[in-house]
Amino acid sequence: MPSPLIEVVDLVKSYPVGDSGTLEILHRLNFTIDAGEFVAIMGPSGSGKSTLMNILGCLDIPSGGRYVLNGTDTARLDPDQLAALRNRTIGFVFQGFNLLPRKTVEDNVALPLLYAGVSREEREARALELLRQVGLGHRVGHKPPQLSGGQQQRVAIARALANSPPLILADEPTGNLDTHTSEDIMALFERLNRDQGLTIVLVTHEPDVARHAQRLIHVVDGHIAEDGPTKTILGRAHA
Amino acid sequence: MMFGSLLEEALQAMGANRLRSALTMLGMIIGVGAVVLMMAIGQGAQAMVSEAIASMGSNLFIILSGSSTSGGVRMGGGTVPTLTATDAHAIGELPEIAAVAPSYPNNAQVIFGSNNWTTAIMGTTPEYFEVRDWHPVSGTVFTDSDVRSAARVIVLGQTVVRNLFGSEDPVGKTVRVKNSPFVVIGALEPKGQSLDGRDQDDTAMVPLTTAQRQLFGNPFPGMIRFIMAKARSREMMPRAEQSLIELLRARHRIRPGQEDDFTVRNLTALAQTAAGTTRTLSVMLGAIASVSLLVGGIGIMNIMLVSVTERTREIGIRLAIGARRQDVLLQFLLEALIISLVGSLIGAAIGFVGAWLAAVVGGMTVVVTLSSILLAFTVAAAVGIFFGFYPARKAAELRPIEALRYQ
Repeated sequence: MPSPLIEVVDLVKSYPVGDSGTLEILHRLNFTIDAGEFVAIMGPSGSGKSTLMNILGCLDIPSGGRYVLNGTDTARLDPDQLAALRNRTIGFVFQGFNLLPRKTVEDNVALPLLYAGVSREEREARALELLRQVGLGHRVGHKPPQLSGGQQQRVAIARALANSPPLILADEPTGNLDTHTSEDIMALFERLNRDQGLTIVLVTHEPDVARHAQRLIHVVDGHIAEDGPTKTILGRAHA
Repeated sequence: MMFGSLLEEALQAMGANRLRSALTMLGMIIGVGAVVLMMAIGQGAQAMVSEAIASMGSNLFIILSGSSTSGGVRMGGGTVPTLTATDAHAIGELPEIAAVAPSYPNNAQVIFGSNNWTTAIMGTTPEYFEVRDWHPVSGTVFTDSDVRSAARVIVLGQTVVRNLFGSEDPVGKTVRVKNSPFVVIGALEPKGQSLDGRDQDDTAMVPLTTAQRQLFGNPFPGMIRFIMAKARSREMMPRAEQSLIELLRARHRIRPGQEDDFTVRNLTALAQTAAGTTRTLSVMLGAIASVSLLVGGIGIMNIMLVSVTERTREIGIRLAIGARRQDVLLQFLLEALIISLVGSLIGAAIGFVGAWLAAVVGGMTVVVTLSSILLAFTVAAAVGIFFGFYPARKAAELRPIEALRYQ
């Protein structure tokens, strides 16, 4: 049996509070995610789901426990090795898009390739291909502020795909979008998961968004309340 | 290749905020411009002084006749003719002395055709030209046999040539001095102003004997006004001075404890003082200009720090999608470096123009050397790296999660 893409063992995250006290946000979480899964991490605000997301994305480090990504124990890595991991293994999609407003759409998509050391010609070709893939082949020279929210999020998804990472992490990707556009974006994620076998981990507080995933991890107060097929959990909640 | 991409990123970021980049650059422009201009002026002053020193002749002593006292009134140096041509000859025998020239100057009118010009006419020996490093541009100088025969030959300085002959070649022409005809055998190269501003070219030379016997009728035969002596090297000058004084005291039979009846002046020492003063001036000008360079550098640091704060979110995004710390560091360092290098390029150009204006409009002597430009560039690059490093490191050390959250 192949080792899982994500393996979280007794994961703890706490912050120092005051002089000596600490505030524990995440309490001894355990789960694994296999390659090709489409998982939604759902929970109310303040539940710790975003903190979990940041650790999964190697943007933050756990206070205790182990996080093994793609066979690498992230605790052993220095900041530059973590940067390389983010560059090659993870594609990020954020709620606020996080595009560089002064750069063209094409340059935004090509940026992860720049840090991977890809030549200019290859970067341009790849960025164009990715933008076509998300249906924005005609917007290559535009700057992000000239695009609608849905279009910006498509650009962000194209950027996340730049280095062909096995894992896409999406943090409230539809939080700033209207219902119709949200459906479009979620359909795009589903397609990427189905057609390219990408592992997608999605953080949301909306059951309607979570419904697109196959598996749901329900986080409440820093614990995993439920972990199972989406249909089972949501079906029961809304029955 | 990675470096080229980061350079592009840096240029793009600067292009995105042109006004700020330009204003930051202004600090460097003024700093480097001031350094180039001030160094040009300082080196110009130094060049002027060293030219004046060279024109005087190097390692030079002037030995003047002593002073006389008349009814309690001391008349000052040169009033009593105590030096003779044989003194000069004896000085020439000293091992430390390379050449010696007895001099007997007086003012007289020189006439050519309808032109006349009154100038200092120096009766001297051929060694005078050696002592002063002075060579003819046309014709020749007189010889020892001219001195022995008291020949009526004359060598003219450029100012005299210009006033009597205009652009004509004077060699071979006959001029009249005190109603005696003299054949012009040579014209000397121009020497320009002396350190005290006298026109060194406003003079003419005749053989010593001719001056003494025919032109100025010496009441004390054989007496001369002063002796110029050249030491063999600069190192020998203190010893040469000592020997000179001992020799002349012995020759003039001056008892120990009695005052000298002559004065020895070391012209090189004077010149060194003048050179030292201009060097100090030059360094001071450079130091003052360097302050503005420093201010320019601090300006870069200031703006870069603001820029890092303002672009925290951008840095966070870059870190999130895989920029390593060194990528961020290099990008911001390159921005600082480009600003300081482009700024110093423009500054150097402005310094050039300023130096040119100072020369053309202000009539100053300026010297722009390659070394001053290289210095300005080196300092600018150093300033860029030094003042750019702290903000760049601050950017690179940002934690990605905190940078991303920054609003």
